[in-house]
Amino acid sequence: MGILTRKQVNIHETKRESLIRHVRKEWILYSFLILPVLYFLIFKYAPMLGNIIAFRKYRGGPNFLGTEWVGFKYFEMFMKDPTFWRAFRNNLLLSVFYLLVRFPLTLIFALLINELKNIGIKKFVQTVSYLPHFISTVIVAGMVKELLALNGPINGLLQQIGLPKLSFVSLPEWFPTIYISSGIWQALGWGTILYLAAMTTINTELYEAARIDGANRLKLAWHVTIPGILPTIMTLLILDIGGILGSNFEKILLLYNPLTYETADVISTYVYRIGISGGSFSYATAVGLFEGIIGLILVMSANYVSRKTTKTSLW
Amino acid sequence: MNMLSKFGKTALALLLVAGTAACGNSDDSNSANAPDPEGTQEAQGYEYGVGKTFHSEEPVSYSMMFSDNEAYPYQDDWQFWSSLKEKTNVSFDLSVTARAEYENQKALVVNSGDAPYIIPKTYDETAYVAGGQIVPISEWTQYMPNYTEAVEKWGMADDLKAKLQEDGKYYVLPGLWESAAGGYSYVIRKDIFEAAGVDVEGSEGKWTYEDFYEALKKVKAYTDRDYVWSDQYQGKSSLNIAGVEYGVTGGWGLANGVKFDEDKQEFYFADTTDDFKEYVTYFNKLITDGLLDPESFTQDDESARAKFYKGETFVINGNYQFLAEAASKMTDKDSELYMIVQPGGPKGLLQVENSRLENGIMISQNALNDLGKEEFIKMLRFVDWLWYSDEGQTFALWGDEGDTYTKDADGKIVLNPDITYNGLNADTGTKQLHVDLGFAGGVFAYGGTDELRFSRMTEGERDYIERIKEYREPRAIQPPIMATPDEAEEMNLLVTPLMDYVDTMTLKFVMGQEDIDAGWDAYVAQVQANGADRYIQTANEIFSRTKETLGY
Amino acid sequence: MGNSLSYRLFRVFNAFVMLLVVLFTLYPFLYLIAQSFSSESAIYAGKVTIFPVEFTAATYKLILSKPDFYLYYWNTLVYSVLGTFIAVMGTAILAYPLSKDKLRLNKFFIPFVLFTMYFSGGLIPNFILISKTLHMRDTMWAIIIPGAISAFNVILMKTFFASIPNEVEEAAKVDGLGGYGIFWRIVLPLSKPILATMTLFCIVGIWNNWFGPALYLQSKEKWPVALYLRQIIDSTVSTAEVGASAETSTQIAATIKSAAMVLTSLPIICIYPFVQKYFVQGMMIGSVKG
Repeated sequence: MGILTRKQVNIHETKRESLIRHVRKEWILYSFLILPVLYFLIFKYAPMLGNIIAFRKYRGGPNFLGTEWVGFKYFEMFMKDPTFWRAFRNNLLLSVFYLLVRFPLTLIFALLINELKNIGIKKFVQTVSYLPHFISTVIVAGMVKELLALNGPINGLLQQIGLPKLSFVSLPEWFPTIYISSGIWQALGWGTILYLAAMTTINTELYEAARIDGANRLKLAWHVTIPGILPTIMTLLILDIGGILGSNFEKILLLYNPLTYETADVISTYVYRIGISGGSFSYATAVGLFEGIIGLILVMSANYVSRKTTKTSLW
Repeated sequence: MNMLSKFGKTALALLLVAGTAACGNSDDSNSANAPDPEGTQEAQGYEYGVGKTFHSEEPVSYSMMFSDNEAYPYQDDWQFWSSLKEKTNVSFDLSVTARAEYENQKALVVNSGDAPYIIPKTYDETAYVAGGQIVPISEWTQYMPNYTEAVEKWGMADDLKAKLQEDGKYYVLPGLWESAAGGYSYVIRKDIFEAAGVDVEGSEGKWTYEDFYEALKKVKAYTDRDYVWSDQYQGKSSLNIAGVEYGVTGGWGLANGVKFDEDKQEFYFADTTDDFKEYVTYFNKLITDGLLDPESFTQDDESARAKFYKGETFVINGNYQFLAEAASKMTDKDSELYMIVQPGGPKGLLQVENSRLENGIMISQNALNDLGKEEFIKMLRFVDWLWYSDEGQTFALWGDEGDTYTKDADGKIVLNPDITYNGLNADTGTKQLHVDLGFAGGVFAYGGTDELRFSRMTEGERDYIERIKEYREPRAIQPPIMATPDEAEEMNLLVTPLMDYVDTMTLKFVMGQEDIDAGWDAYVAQVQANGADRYIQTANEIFSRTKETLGY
Repeated sequence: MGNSLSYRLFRVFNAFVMLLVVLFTLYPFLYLIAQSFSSESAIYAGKVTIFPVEFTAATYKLILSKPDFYLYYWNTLVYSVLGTFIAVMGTAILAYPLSKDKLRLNKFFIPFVLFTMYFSGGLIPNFILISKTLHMRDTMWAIIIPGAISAFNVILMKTFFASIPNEVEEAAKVDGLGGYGIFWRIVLPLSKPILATMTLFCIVGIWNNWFGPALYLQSKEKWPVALYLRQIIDSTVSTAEVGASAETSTQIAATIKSAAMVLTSLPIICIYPFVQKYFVQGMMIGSVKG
């Protein structure tokens, strides 16, 4: 944002300098890290030790590091389970499609809002677009079901056009559409906040300069705005790609049923149905490690590609 | 290089910390804390016993989990707490948890070793057995006179067998009822049914699902609707209670699809039998003939109820509490709501609810470790009084005699007119028994004699239970599969994908998305492929191993 | 540029899109508000659309007359304000050094932070850490601290900090400011948009968080309003399979559900206009010049 991303200028001397000297020289900056890193060690990394039960038998109880080694037993269990892979596939499909639809829409919507001249209307539209974010998932699911009911408004519309009624909620082929559309409805407005915040940091002089050169609104958006917020866009995109194995657990739980497991069942709901028992903790942890590794690979690849193509990246 | 080792050192330190935290609370019951089979522990500093009110000389407090029901939220000034203190000198150190999160919280708190002493509202204790945090309470019940008496008087020994774990002990103090409950059935618009020419009271005694089907057709002809029945609970309750009559499992009762053959003394997979084919064919018929709303299986409970209240449908599954609440919400004020006895099926006119046990109490190992044997037994005797003595149960349900209720000439309980509950004293009551006073709550008030059970019911509900008793046969209780923790783990992880498939196919057959005849063989083959046979084999192996303990 | 035809067309198009968006997002919300003010029988009869039918403020009176409700609100306020302050400051002091390319150890620390987005300990180890090791159970710290700094937020803030030109900080150094001074007096003020955004995210996050409180708060007096709401509205999620006992979830009136939802979300929505003023165009002008 603002001036196009800067790059390091004077690299040539750092390689020579020893690490210790470097740390001493920048000790002020490094000192900022002390408290947060401690926080991370205590609250994020210490509990991670618990993941060891993916490789050990755990029967419940405070001996949370498990009782004996079982190697990759739990990993094998889910790798051999076709239902797990179905859940994996569904997870992937739902997340990827959701990303493909939501990403450009959010960006475009942010750009459109940015074009609004009247501050009052701008604020109004923004605030109203945030409302769905605050409506609890249970209520959203309820509303969706009501909308799609056999004698609900959508089917009513279909009837009017002369098409047959559909029991949407029980048809697996409709689930992705339902999930994605409701997701867009919930997240569109809220998702523009970061973009709009980033847009405010763009130097207005750049707009002036471009306008003087005769650019119209479309060119402005393409040549000034988007490049201006490119780091934000890429950061969000990379992080989203890393999060592909996630899902809106609660919403799926409320909207799915055995008839739609084929397309609706995702990793988190599958593990949930396996329930709480001694073995399932280890199983769930093994699945979690698997998800984590995939997520890490995804985010590193996305980061690499982004670095090569757009010169911005997370690290 | 030095960065790494610095990190490594910190990691090691944390590992140590975490490790010691875990090792803090190991099992190792020292022999001083083992129960003696005679059960003759002197009562030091307290009174207890059958026919006596528990009372401790010194005030004492026990930690307990409390499931907070949003319909009557927890209040610390409930009369229940103060009255209890007066009577017994016992108070609770409560962990209040929202009902919706209660199970999660329970799992966390038990598994982290931090469980409070008393853990009520336990529906399924099996997940906690292997962790060593719960006391095998069956070894201690000899100290609990009221509980023991109830078990003997009502012949519950067989029922309790269902709770036995692999080590021959059981780990929960279940709620004990003298007779089985009414359970869920179909709430119908009696006025409409009778106008359509169905003699409800005359035929419900003997009718099977096929007869019920005929009755529904009459109602449809009379009312001329697209369908006459739109179900709530996503059809799971109906599938469950119908499953009993067809000898299969479905809906809420889906579980592991396994039934026990009493004659052959072995387990078999019920959901691939011909009975199952009949079962799904029946429900499919209901849909194709326009009797049952296909949305029953997917809609929200709210939608189903709305249709019923509005008078668009005339049949809905529910329990008696639902009926009581629905009565006031009907749009047509002349509606007559009636709970029919559950229809029978190919397996006979069977009573659906066959278990006299219900959710119960786990006692955590922390209680034994912290209190020591003597005080622990004292606590058990308190639990015994509050939850298993007639006096304690009556108190938990109705409150203080004279203050909240009185007994009439026949000894029947009459709630004071200024208090209302479950439809009683609806016009005169200003205070609600559970909301304002804290009695009749789900954490304390359950279990007991038939008399006590009936005391909280309206005429209608009592009548319903009587009808079930008259027209339906009780059925045998299935023996449990007493698996070792390893076996249990394997079976548990096998069962989910297996039963997911059955669940999905049940609905597909019923809804007509899969043709029953055409798809049947493929269905059975797939169920086998998913491991049903292996599951049954393991179950039967376990059974032959444990037969004697179970008394077969 | 002003009034060319294509521009005017665009404005019409934009207005149309905005209208659609407003309709689709406002309508359900209005419906919920209407529901909260309608009578139960009207709701069941399906008469309610945007306007209340058989207007009644009874539900609101019921909820607001419970003194506990105000207690929950107060708790939520305290948790949110305190928690947000800690979270934003914590995230900022972590993101700042990470945004400096010249720090070689960032090659270690950035992945160190990122890693935590993909691997976590799971419920039980976290629970043991917080309640047994740190004894934070049933205190507000259990809600505020564990989730304070999230890798996601750190990365976002770092990206923003990185966009502040070096020259600005160089200039400050010349003026005699030390490292801490630069951060406090120069960088932070220039980062108002991201700080405001982060504040908004954190406040909303803590305000709506019921999961942590459900896990760690034993005493009902400490409940935040989100947990209370969860009790009322969301009880269906967990109890899907309970069945046979007489203890089924009693039908909470549809009105209470929507009223409770309105009451908890309204205040937070009102916060936005105040945050909006930090999103002012042109923050960066003048900071580089001269």
